[in-house]
Amino acid sequence: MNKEINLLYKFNNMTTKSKTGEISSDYQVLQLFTAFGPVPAKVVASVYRDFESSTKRTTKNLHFNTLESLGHFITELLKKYDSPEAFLLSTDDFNIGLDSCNDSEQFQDIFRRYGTSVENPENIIKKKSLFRNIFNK
Amino acid sequence: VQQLTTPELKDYDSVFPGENWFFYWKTSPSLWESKLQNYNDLSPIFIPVYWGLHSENPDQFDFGTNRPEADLKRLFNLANQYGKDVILVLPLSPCPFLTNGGIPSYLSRSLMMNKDGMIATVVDSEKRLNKLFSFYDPRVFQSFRKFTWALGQFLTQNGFNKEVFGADFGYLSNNRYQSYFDDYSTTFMKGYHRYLAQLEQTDPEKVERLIADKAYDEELKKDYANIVKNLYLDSAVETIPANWSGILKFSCLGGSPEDLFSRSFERWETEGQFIKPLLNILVNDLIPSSVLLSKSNKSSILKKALKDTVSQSLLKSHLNNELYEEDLHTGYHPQVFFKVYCKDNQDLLDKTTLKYFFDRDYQWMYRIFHRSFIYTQEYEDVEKIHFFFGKGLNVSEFNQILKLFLNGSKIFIDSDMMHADLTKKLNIFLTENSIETERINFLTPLLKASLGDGLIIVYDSEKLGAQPLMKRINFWETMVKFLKLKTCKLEIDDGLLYVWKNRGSNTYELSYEEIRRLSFYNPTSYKRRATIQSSSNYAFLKTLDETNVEIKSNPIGIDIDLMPGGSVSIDCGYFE
Repeated sequence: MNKEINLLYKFNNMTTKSKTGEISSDYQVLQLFTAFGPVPAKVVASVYRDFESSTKRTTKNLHFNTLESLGHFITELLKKYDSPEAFLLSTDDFNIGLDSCNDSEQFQDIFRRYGTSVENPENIIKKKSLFRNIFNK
Repeated sequence: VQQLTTPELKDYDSVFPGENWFFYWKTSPSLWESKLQNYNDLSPIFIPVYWGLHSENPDQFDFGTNRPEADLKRLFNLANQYGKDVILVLPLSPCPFLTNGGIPSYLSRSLMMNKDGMIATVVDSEKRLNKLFSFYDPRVFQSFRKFTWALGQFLTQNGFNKEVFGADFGYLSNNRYQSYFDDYSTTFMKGYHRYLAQLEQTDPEKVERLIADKAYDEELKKDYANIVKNLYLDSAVETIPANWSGILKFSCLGGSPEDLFSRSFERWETEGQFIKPLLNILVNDLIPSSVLLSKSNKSSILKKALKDTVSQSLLKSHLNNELYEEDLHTGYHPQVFFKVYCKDNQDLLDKTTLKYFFDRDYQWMYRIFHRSFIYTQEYEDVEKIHFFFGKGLNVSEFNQILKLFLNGSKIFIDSDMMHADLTKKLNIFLTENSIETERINFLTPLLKASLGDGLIIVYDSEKLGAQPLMKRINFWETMVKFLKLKTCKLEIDDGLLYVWKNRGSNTYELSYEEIRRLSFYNPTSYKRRATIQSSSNYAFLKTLDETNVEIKSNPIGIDIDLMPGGSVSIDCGYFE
């Protein structure tokens, strides 16, 4: 349960033209962690390597041009880190959640309550197989 | 080698949460007397002025007239009765350990934002979230003026003759001090736009420059922030003139935006995570504060690190605005070889890899000052190696540097962007005093001037910064090797932290020039080893405060195995 990944991102209001001349935006990852601490930099780097980005690519500075590519990144990270689920939260939604929190216990629930859930597709397949096995028997 | 234990610190509690802070609102006023009576530290007690507690309604201030918990007069009298020195600390920025950052609830309207657009929030020692409110809200400033006026009147009427310090609270982020005053909210932006509108009338050139150069925006924002910051300061100085003693900068452990996440999850937060930030705070000439951390956060390894580093002399040097920690002959003080006066030039420390070099070879044995250098007859750190940056250096400071050199100090000066008049002044000074000089090229043009023990080395950070990393490191290695510093050779596993302290030898230790204490901390989750190699200038004397360590002698020195959370101190006699 505690290996769920929480991701906090901010939208940088600086629409830029990418190399191909397309208009692109910038979604910057601010926090990427589980209840045990940050997702290991090596794991993040190995997944992030495959993502194109117009800005510099370090694990401390993860940028994505679209929300879709951010979602794709987190899906790949779930697989790599063998994590069941991730919660993505923008700073705006984070602030809404934070406003109603008074202590760290309530804070722990912000991502689950206000974030967008992304499930590990491999877990969904595993679940389906389990159901199939049960019902086939 | 003897094994000893130093006296244990009194446990932290909610009223005395650390570093001599006294949180009078955390206990019943009936217990103030016993708390103060039992306080046995020689340093003054810091009493923070909790604005929100003394002002429940606008225009109404209570310093004890209505509620006993706000009775500052009784508190001062009790401290006086038991001979305790107190210092009143008035926050000039949001205060992270107070609800709403310390401001009254009727003013808590405009939330502060950090630079990433998150509500500025701090986890306190009881795991409550303190949200901070913007000091750029005009209503907050107007009420602050009224409050400081009322406080000043109260202090005068009651004959309070102790010092009052303003406090700027902040935290370290990427090794830079960030004040809680800094705000990125819409409240700040509204004020900034009012400032720009005013500039259009008073200084239109600045606005024109802003239109042409967007990067200038950051500079103007800084100007505006400084103006507002000074309004708060001026208000305090004007209304409490008799007792005003200056500003103290407190850097709070566990108070950064990143800490909000780590400290909210029990299995993420560890005691060891705060040791490196603590040492960084000390290196950056700030006063560390651990009051945001709970008692359980400070029960073992961090408790030892705080005991080892946050000394009476450290607090005294900040209270007296001294640029050195005076040896009080009562204990150890930090072993510092290098003093860097960088003002706003901290980037140059990274560019020249000087900081990297210090961190690698002289961990925590340097200090970075953002204040101007002032040389006085009492200045005790002449024997330390000083670094100055030409950028932003003025004539007065330059004269002080030359005096320091004449008194035998070793000085590095970065000539990049130094005013041409200062370069000329240096050359005239060297010629007029017939000082021996040598000019060579070693990655950068170097000028070496020496007189007795005094030494000046002038280099160019621009040219040095353009060199490959290894060459830059090699430059500093060569420079420092030339200075022949006497240190023990250490081999340290990754993640292990250590600090050196020293004191003069006493009458029973006359064989030694001084006693040096080396303390190790293992904040990691793994076993770590340190090896101290024997040196002809050092004699191992004793080990102290061993916690989760194994120490073995070997033919070349000592091996120390530290388990996770382990710590130990080793005393060595040092002689020339």
